[in-house]
Amino acid sequence: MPRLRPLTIALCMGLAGMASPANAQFDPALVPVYSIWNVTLGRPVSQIPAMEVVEISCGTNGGPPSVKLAAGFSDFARCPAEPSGLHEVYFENDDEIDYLARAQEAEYKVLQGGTSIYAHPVMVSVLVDDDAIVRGIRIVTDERASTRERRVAVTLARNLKGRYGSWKQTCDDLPPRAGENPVGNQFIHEICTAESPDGTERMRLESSFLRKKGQDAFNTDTQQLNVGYFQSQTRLEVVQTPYEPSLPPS
Amino acid sequence: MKMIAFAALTAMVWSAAPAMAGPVEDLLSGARKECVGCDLSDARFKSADLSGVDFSGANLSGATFHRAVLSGAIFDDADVTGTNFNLANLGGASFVGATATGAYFYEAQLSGADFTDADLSNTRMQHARMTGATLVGANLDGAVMKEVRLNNADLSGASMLRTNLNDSSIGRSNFTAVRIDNGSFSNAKMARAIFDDAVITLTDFYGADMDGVSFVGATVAGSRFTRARISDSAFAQTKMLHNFMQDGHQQN
Repeated sequence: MPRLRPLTIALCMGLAGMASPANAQFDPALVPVYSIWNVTLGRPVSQIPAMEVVEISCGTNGGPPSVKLAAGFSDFARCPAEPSGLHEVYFENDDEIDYLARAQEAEYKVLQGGTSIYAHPVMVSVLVDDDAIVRGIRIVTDERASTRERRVAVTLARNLKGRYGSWKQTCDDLPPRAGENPVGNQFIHEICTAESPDGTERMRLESSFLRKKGQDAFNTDTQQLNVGYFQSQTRLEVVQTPYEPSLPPS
Repeated sequence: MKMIAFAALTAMVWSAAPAMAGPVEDLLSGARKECVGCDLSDARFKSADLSGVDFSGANLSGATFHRAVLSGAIFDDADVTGTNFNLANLGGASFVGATATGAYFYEAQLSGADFTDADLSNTRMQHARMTGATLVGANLDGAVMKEVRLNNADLSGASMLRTNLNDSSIGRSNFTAVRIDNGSFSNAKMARAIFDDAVITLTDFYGADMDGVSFVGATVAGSRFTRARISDSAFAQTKMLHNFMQDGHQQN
């Protein structure tokens, strides 16, 4: 990271220095104008500025987006309610600067990198109740990322544990289930739960790095290594009480 | 007394009138469907649906239409210098006579758009979809059009100095009477494109698929056809000078 920083700064300065007026209005900071961390629980979903995020759609319990919400967040009720009664609405960080950088053939990945937290590509969503109040957030590492990025997805859990460090966390390491195997000599399946110091919010953090049944490291038929045959992910959910964080799809 | 009455009347008129919104707000809300000749420089229309809106003659320099829906919108004679149309849907839009120097059209949908006599110099149009677009007489000097889909388009009479069309798809497009200098068509898919009466100098066609391309009456000089897929008969009615040909030899 310390080696990347001068490069990042140089690229930001380069983008800021682009002659076009379209670029002039942007602060070339690495932080997006609005991200999942700007969402305040207990406030209406209209708090999210529709012009500062993109791809507003129904979520699929941490999976890729489904139905696009043409009217934006006000259309949240179109998303089917989960067993908790909350509606999951997916969005992505604004990509305007990323696309200007692509058009300029600059190193766009160093700028904002799409929807990411702690440099991990993620899928983010808000959980909205029937009264249009945001009751929770959900962050899941993006399975559509490259193999290299997916391999380190499990390490996002460390950053998130630190972010919620003031919450008293209880973490359990789960043993391998039938058919699950380590990747090399590493097997990680950890679930942490916590409650905020004021007792108004609950958190569930699950991370895993393992091979599921059928994800063999080696293909005996072709004598080739099976690249990318592993599960590496981190899933965070924070909800207001009395709601409980939901479980990932089995 | 009269002054007080006038002041009161003025206050009543102001309070009765609807809240005064600017043209940007009116366009975003859909209350307004045209803004001919407006000054909308640096305005932000990100992700907005402005289909069919008439911006003829407007000053939109530096404005942002990132991800906007602009199907059938009219930008004739407008100033869109440096305007951001990245990812915008501009299907069937009209930019006749527009000044679009340095504008961004990265991955924009421009199928059927009309850029007749538009100034598109130094635009960034990579990955744009421009099937069936009209660019007759357009200025494409310095435009970056890598990987653009420009099939069945009409670029006759266009100026293409240092235009970059590497890896593009320009099959069956009409380049009649274009002037191309220092252009680049490396690895372009350009089957059955028409370059009749064109003047082409110092241009790179390396590895291009040029099956059935027509150069009738054209002048081609100092250009490179190395590894291009084209038969010698394609140049039967072409004035050829000092080109590197597909089989590796250089012409005198």
